[in-house]
Amino acid sequence: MKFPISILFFIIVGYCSAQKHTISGYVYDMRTRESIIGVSVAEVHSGSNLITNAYGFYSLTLSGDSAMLLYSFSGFETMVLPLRLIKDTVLSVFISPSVVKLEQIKITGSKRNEAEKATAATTSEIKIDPKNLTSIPSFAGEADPLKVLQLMPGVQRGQEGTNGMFIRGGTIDQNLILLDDAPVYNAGHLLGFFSVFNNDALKDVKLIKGGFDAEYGGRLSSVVDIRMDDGNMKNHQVEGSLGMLSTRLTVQGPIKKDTISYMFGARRSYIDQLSKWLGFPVPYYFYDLNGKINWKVNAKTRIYLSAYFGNDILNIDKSLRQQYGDVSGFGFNLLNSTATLRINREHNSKLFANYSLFHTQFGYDVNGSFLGNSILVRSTISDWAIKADYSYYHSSAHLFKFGFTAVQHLFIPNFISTAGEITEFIKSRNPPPIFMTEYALYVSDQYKVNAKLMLNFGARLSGALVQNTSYVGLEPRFSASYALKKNLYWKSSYSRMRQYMHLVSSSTVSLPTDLWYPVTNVVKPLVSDQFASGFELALPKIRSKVTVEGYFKEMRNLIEFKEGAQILLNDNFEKELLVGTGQAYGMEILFQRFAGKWSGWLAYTLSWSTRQFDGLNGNKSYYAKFDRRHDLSIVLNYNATKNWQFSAVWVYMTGARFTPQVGQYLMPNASLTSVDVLPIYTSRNAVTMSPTHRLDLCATWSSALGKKLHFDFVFGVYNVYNRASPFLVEIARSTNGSMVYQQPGLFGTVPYFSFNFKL
Amino acid sequence: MKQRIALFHFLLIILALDSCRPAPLDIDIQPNPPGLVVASQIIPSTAMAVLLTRSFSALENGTFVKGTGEVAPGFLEKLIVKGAFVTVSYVGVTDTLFPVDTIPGLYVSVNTLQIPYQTYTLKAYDPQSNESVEAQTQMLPAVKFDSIYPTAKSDTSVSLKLRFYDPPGHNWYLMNVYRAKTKIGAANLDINSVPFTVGKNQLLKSQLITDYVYNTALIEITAIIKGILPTDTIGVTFSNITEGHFLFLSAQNSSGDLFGQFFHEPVNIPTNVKNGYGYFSASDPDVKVIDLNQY
Repeated sequence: MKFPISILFFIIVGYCSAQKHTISGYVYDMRTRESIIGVSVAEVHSGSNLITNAYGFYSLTLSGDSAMLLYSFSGFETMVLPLRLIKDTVLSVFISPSVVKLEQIKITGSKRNEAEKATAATTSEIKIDPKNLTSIPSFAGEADPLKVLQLMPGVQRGQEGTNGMFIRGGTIDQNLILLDDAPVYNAGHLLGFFSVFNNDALKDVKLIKGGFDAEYGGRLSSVVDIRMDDGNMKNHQVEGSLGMLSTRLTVQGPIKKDTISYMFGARRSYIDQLSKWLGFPVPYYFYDLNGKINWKVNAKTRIYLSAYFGNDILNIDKSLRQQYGDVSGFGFNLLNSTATLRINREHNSKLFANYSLFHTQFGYDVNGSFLGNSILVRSTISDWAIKADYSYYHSSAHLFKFGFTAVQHLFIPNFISTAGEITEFIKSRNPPPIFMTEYALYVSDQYKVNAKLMLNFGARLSGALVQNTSYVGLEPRFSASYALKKNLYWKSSYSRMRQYMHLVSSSTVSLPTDLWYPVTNVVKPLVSDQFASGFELALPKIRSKVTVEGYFKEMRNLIEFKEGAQILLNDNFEKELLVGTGQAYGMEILFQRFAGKWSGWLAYTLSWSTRQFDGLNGNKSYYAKFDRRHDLSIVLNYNATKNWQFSAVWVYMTGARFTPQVGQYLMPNASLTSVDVLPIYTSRNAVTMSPTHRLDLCATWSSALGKKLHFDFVFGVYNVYNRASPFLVEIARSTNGSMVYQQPGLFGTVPYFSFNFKL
Repeated sequence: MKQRIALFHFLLIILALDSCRPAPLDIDIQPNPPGLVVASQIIPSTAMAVLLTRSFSALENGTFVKGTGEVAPGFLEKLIVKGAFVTVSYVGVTDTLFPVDTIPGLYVSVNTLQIPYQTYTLKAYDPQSNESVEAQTQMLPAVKFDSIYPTAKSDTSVSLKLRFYDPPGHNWYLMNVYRAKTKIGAANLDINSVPFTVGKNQLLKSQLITDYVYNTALIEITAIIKGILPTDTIGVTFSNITEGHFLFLSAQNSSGDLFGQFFHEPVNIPTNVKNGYGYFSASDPDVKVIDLNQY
């Protein structure tokens, strides 16, 4: 075991206690002096342990007159610190990165000491390190944390190439994606092919798909908690990437050393600029801006101000008529923004608080003009929220968490403005805004019963006020972890979740312009109950871990559209909704090897997902659209030399389901004045598309570590053996002239390269 | 130089994205086997007519005339069911419906009595395909207009106010408003003269009505009729239909055009035809002809 190469700490005297003393403080990265999330802090003799919270804070209450504290975190030197326990002590430590190059792919548990991780009563949680994603093969070399999460068990993809996640039988609107506490309502650029997250600007990505802590709520299926970099407190730092489709640059550094830091990141696609230069403009681009200010006001108070702004822009104007024909104007803006002000306050050595004020907004404008007609369609969702989270480190056995949140949502769905003859068909409308207040109170206790058993139980009381209707409900949460043997753990959890908004989306076409809409006096809150249970086996000799988990989830008040419902520009779609139930169950296996020349993981999911709606499919239960029976991902990473690293990803997935039209017939219409061609469909989602499987490869050449400028070149191939990944079914003419059903793929073999640097 | 680099980059992207498009995968979806399709019409106090056709696979080739969207004549011929045995049974009586020579696929009985609340059972057997279908429906009593009154809204639209007494229980109605396509005048309206004579009348409005939203026995409905001249003559038909027929027509309206089939949710159109498609109905419409000149 390597011992610390550097220790820096300071002590603030608190009050004395005869028997027990509290050690509290923060754990920082020695290079950047940013706090580190998820560091294992353990007292060696007593076995008391915990992990640092989302702000790097910890607090341990110990008895006796001496202690041996051990700080460990993957990729960093382990630090052991002997202490005499005389009084309550504030102890902030700085740990250093390992000199030895570690494995590039760091996922679940890699950020925690394995022993500690196994005893934590968390189930169904996955972490990835956003800084090390470039070596995982990806489409066009665009490193994307959400695409990496799709390679995990229980997380299934939507259409090919998109970053939509269907988690344990849920839909994409059942995922709460948080960026520095603020929800992100549209996490995709370019119809979801790229996520809005610039991984250079990110610090931590955590996915929770079951066993939710009481502090999380508002969605049924998952929480993706993403934290931005705080900003380097010590040195100025520049990092970036040049890719085939976009380039990104992130700068960070101290404004005042060890007191205030900044981080600013930007990313922009440049197909539009290249194509303009070449005389055939493709007037589409997207960009992202991330910024953060981190101010250490004093030893007990810290303020963070962070913001994100992103946009997708298409603008075909009159100057492009030559290329785009008679359309004299068409365009859209998909605008995402978040802003968060957070104040961390250590009220005393046992009570840590975080107060947040945040704003988030997602809106789109789609406009078109042709032959004297024009149309503008606009929808917006915007939130203002306050939040307070408290962690009370009562003793080494109890960690109490409690807090509240209140969110004011504003929905303006389907504002339409039309001019010209088109007004005959599409009327202008300026709908009144819909306000909804969502609130929640929660309390939980992480209770370490003994060395083997850990419990985490709590409850969340959530509610919403909308359209003179009030909804309120209790969400009990429970999880347990028990050490059966030295390296074998059993874990179980139960969570009830409530959701007060949903994405109004067609079952046939899914677009970024789908509407977010609140519960109303007609549409009730969605509710789910999820049970998960499994085993975790640590294999330290081969630096690996195996997790097997089963789950059962029941969902109520799900919505679907009635058969024949017209959704496009429908201003009264509530009349078209049906309310039903859903069930999802399955088993997930994850084998991970964290370090060594070979590392990576194998993730397999066997799952079922069904729905039942009175009024659909003859009232019989049917499989959900993204009910995929088998889902297998294999990620391999081979560190060949100091400079060369090779990676491969192979995925296999049962095809998505759909409802094809298999026949037609002619029928006089109701007035007997014409004949309609009526469709004959199979029963709902009766047909499964062909399975998807794909191999992606990449090779990374990295410059030597330890130099001021570090850079790497990534060469990769997406879909090596050029297999179609079906994303739709079409009726096409075969070579012999007959009509056949076919499933075209979107992308074939795509070679790519990218250049990444850090200074 | 910069432009060359850009050109190289752009070509690389295009090549990367397009040069290796994978071959589409075949999918094993069994085409739907053809089935008999039933459509029916009652001509008040005159006849019961049934149209028999066949459904076709979604993979059928040559369905439409290229570029026109019209059903190809040869294809239509294949769909018509000729030489079928068609009967209607009610109160112990079985009437045979005979084919109409001029309209292939149409079978008519002029003997069938139209008795309110009576259940009618249709049986059809096609010896060519050896297929048979059966369907049952109830003939509901005609609901007559209590009054109907047009008011000019503008030069091209009329507000039509109609009132009728809603019988006890839940009821469903179909209202159609037509204008004669060729000459003005009541005599030129073809309503009910020959069944399924598509195109002789111009449909102005078709509306399905349910009494769920009304709580009075005397129901008043105002329909705005557009695309009309003050000198026109219009025909209004009003039928008391069964709930099943109402649901069938609603589903048909939802998915009756290609635009709808793309942008609407898929519809499984209900049927009361065993082993087949379509709907066997026996509604007895009330008909009013209105000369707008007189209002």
